[in-house]
Amino acid sequence: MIVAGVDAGSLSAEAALVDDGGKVLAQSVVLMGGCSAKASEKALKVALEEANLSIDDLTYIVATGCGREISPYANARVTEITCIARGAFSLYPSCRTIIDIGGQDTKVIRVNERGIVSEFDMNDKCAAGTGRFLEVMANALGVGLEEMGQRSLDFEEDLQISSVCTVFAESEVISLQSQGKKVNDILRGIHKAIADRTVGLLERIGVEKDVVMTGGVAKNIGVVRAIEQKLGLALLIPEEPQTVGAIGAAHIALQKARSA
Amino acid sequence: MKKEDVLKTLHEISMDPFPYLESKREKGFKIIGSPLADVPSELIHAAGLMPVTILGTNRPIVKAGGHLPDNACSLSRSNLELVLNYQPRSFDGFVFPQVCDTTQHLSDIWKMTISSEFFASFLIPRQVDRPSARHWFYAETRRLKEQLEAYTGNPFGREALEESFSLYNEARRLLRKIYGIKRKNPAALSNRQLFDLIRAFCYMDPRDLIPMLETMTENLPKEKAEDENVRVVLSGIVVEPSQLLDILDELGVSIVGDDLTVGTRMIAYDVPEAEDPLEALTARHFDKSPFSPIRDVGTRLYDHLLGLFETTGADGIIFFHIKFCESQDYDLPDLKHIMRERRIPMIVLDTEYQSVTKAQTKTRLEAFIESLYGERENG
Repeated sequence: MIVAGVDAGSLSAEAALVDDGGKVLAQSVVLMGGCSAKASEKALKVALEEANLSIDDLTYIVATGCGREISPYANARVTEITCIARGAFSLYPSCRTIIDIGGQDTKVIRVNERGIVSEFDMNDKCAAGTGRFLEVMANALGVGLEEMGQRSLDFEEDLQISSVCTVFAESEVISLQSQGKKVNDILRGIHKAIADRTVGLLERIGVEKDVVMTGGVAKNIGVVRAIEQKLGLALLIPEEPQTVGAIGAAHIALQKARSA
Repeated sequence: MKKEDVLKTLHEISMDPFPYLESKREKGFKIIGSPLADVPSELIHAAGLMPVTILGTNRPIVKAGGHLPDNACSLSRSNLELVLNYQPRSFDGFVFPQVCDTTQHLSDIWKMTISSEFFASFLIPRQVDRPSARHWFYAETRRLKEQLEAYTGNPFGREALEESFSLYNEARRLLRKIYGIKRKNPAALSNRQLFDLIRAFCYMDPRDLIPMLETMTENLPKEKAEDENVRVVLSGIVVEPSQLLDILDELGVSIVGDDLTVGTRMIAYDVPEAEDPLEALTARHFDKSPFSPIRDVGTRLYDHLLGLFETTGADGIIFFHIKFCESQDYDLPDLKHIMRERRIPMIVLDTEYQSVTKAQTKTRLEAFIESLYGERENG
């Protein structure tokens, strides 16, 4: 039996195929921008091609993410909070806390020893400190998104970005540039601001080791190091942090297919 | 009237009470509005007036921002907006309770900003465990009675008060009965429908409401029929936007209890019999369950919620936090700590009157319900 999980996020869509032993057969990440049926369909197609399978080979599909309601083919729809928790717990059974920073929101999740969500919180209202925030900052600084993390590690001056409101932070960054501040130092300030906000969110639910970080922003080593420094512990980062929600959705699909 | 017609009528009134209130006014009633909480409606009713609890508006805040800061609680802002902007001519007067710092300031703002035939402040003691609190409440009740009599020009006595007590007690009894039926048979009526009835109680003359509630109790199934839904207790002051109740229905949730001010706290406590009717109102007030703005001995608020959780056999608690409600803000750290320590699943939902279609709120609720089902399946 092969099942699939599809995570239709705000900036990207991911899919994961899992066999009845829980092994991940294929996974995909497609950048489409916006929650769309087309994006989740494409992600599923790419994963199926990688595993040399067709949609007819799938016994059950669970859709998650903000586009879960409009994802085609889905047999069931489950929130990203539950799916990320399940995915992280399947990869790291020792995990008790998860930080997920995606395109438009930051989630912090506590799971119990059975991998069930015991508490969670999310950023409120705006996309401050999320992937979209980083995109805007990268654009303002003329730096590639993928090079932001590494460059910020090579800093000289300890700068502080006081706002994580995307619009205000952008003007603050422009102002720092006009003062002749170095790009790497500004980048580090941005990452520290994200870390402050994330740790502030974590404080609401409490932190218990091990802590796993997922979502696209986990690929930014600058943000990861800044959070680690504030928490005083090392984060566990999956090899592909973006597909954890899709893997969790696939595990839930497996459970649902078995009980169907 | 059929049960379905009653549900439809009360839903409409719960969403927009003003056509109903206008019809009351056409019959000669003066409309007296009171924000939450604990103004004795019976007293206003006995004066021959039409008491109405003001429950805010979900429409955009336009004018209230000029009088209240953006970080004043969403309930106060939307109450002010409703009367200032959307229903400026729907009320003849106000009895304004002061239950927290914001309502204390809002009372002054209201008095200076909104013109009305009648305005009375009702100062409710916040430290209810002090012996002086009872004397205070009694004196405030007497003061309000005198102000109402001066406004109408008609003194009223024990007979009128007891008639109003009896009417409100009967409406509350019927609402409790319907709640009990739903608890035994969650499918008997939806969560939304149950709270429509309670909201209608805030807006309606019990003389109009009682026959409708009687129709309901006569036509709801009486047999026990439990379902597989997860069972939750609702906590807080008010569920707003009320569309959140539709989401709970969609998600397969059964409400088995609540400590909401616009909920059980409003229908659970009758006015007892007493020689002195004002003493009866005072006794009722101090019988009431605690709520955030009223401070008293240490842990009564938390103990009450824990007791409710245990006696109802609920799977979890949904706490509705009105954004920027200071009283709730100060309770929440302790409440979260207590629930975490006892491993009781609880979600705190930040709610705002104007966030009617917030997808993130739905996702939060959905994720919490999934975790309750997850506990059941794997527990």
